[in-house]
Amino acid sequence: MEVSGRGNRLKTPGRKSGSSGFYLLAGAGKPSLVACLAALLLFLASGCWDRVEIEDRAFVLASGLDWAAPSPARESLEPAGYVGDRQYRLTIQVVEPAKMIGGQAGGGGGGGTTQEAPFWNVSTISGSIFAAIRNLATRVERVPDFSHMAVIVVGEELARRGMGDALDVFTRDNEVRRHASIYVAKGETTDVLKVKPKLASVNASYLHELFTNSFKTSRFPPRADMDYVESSMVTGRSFVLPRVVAGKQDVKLAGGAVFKGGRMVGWLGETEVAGYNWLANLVKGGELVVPCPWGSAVEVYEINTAKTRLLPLVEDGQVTFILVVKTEGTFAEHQDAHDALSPQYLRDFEAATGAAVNEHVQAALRRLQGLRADATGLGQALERRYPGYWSQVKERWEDEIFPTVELRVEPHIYVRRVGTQR
Amino acid sequence: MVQDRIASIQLTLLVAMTAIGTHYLAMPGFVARAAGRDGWLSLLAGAAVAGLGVWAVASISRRFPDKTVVQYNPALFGRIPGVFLNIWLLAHFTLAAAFGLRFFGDVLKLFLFDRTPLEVIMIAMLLTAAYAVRHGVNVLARLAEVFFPVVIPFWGITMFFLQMQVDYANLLPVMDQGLKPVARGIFPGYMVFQGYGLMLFITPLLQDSSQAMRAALGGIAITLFIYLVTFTGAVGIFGAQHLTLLIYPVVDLVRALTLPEMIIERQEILLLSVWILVSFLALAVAFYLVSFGASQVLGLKEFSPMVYLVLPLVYLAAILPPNAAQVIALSRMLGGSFVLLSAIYILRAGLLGLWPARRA
Repeated sequence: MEVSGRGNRLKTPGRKSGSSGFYLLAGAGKPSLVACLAALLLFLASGCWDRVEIEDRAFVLASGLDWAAPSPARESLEPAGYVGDRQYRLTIQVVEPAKMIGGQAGGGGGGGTTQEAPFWNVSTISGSIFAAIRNLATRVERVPDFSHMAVIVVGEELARRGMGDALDVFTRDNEVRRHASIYVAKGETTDVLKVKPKLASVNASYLHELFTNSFKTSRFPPRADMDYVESSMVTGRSFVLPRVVAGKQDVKLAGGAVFKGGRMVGWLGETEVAGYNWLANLVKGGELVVPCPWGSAVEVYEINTAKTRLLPLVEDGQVTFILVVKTEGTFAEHQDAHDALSPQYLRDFEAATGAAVNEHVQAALRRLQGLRADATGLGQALERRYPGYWSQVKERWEDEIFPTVELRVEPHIYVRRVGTQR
Repeated sequence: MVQDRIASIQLTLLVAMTAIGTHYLAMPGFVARAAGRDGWLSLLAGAAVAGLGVWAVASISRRFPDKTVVQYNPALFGRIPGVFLNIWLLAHFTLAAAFGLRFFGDVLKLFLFDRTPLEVIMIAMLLTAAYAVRHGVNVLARLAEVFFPVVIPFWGITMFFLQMQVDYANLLPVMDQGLKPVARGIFPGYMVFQGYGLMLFITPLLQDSSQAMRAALGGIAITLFIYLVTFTGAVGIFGAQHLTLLIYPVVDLVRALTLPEMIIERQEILLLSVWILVSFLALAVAFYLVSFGASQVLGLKEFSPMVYLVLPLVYLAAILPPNAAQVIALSRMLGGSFVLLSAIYILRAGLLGLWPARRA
């Protein structure tokens, strides 16, 4: 039953009256007023309220966060965004697309002037990161767009004082990608960010692409995204971030910064990070240099796949861990004259490789134990296997028990290929 | 009586999409806040309770074929309590529609339109919903049928790629603090299935109302599957403790997804555009239930005029909460109200044999 007469006219035979609205447009042969109005709406409604044209955006590809030493920067004359005694220096690296189009950027070589580099580093000092970004609105005319930021570099001093508060803006804001990598710079971040790369055109993509080399080397921890940092901070776990060291012409991504309770407590060296990667099941590639089992020369094992598992064992209140290492790889360099295809030789080589893994792992563990920072997930493995025991010891775990823990490596190394020569 | 009829598969999809459309984005966060890493068990328990609710509504409806809840309430509970219950139900679904609208507006403003006024987003959405609702349940049911095959493949692909990053060991140890966290999680674990409340009104509109229970259980099963995959994935990526901090964990989950070689960046925009569809449907369904129910309470033959009376109410209730915290409070209140309503109907259904309903 229709309330108004209108419905009857629009009703199509065989259809229920409930959907009469759909026939308004197809209606009575000639286009109705509604149809005309609807068509008109297309012109009015197709704009976007929030658009910012691409040429009005300043794409930020990298940011640097430092603990600012008092300096006569322009902002510090008229400080903005100070409440407490915090003082951050924020550096944003903005790309200048126009200069990237000009072909081979940075081809000139020589560090010196960054006049032609297609990126611009702007620094400002403030007590809050958000205020610092807004400080930049007085100096950068376009809207900084953080949605493509690939790298955040944190200065050593800030890392040691605790960087969690400074990172809040980047996790709270929905614009920032969660994949942005966080590195810790030895020294100041500006030294890292100002390096003009030789192959890439922008410093930030250089820093970012180095990280993808984790398939070729295990000299830095291949896990540095914001989620990892935030999760670790929230749960109070210790964690390791890659270290980046600035040179004059290049940077070096190697080693790691160990964080405990949100503050950096020490460094891991290059080989210690390799051991750490085994412990934390992060190995993606790399090589192991091994003394030749039958002579004095050097042999190299190249890691193709690697997987490790931590098995905790509690016996009479004594905690031991077994690290089961399973890796397949290639015989990459053979500086010896022995037949590489001799089964016995390969077996001995695998054993020597296992010993090398063990050495790396123990070195990393000793270092972490010395720092009293369980960044490897040993505690987590214990919690999963022995929840009852864990609830008894979790308060004392990192400072008392973890430093005394023993770990046994159980290597399963498989050399699958030897290359093209015996 | 003019009535549209819907097929049972349409009821299944409506139940699933109404539940998902309202609570999906925030679900892992508040389940984890209550139950920690054992939240998936709470979701299972919540689904079981929802199953019980479905049984209750279906068995009551069997006594009153062709009657909706507001029509049989007086016969079921007596005149005065029946009227009171009707008012409660209508208020509940008005607020449910308002919450859906506000949540939708907040999410869109936060992630997509940061300079568009909230009011503009909400009014545009509400008017679109009113247009759909005015044409009856059939339109909504068809929308569910059209949206579902768009939403599910997208969701499936996202979850598939996420599997490489998920560390399911984060779910261990299971129940190390006993049953208590799981029990605490049953409230949020149940309220995320709220969507099936539409059965109260829609069961008599089914072509074959004997199928009501099976259809609605199917909807709950779909919802449960989606929730379980999402929750375990979220715990696997963020860990339960980090999860409790996140307001929209599902969005963060999609943002955490690293596609090989970064084919697509900012995938959350895709997720949100798909979610708009589901969320729209959930809002429209609640809107429809209020308009439809109110017209029956008032004895109107046509419900479409009701739509325009309900519309300002929904808008007002949606715009009223001053901040994000109050929106969460509204959602908790709705959850509480829904739990009480379910308890009433489940108990009444259990007592049907002892205390038969009067003929209306």
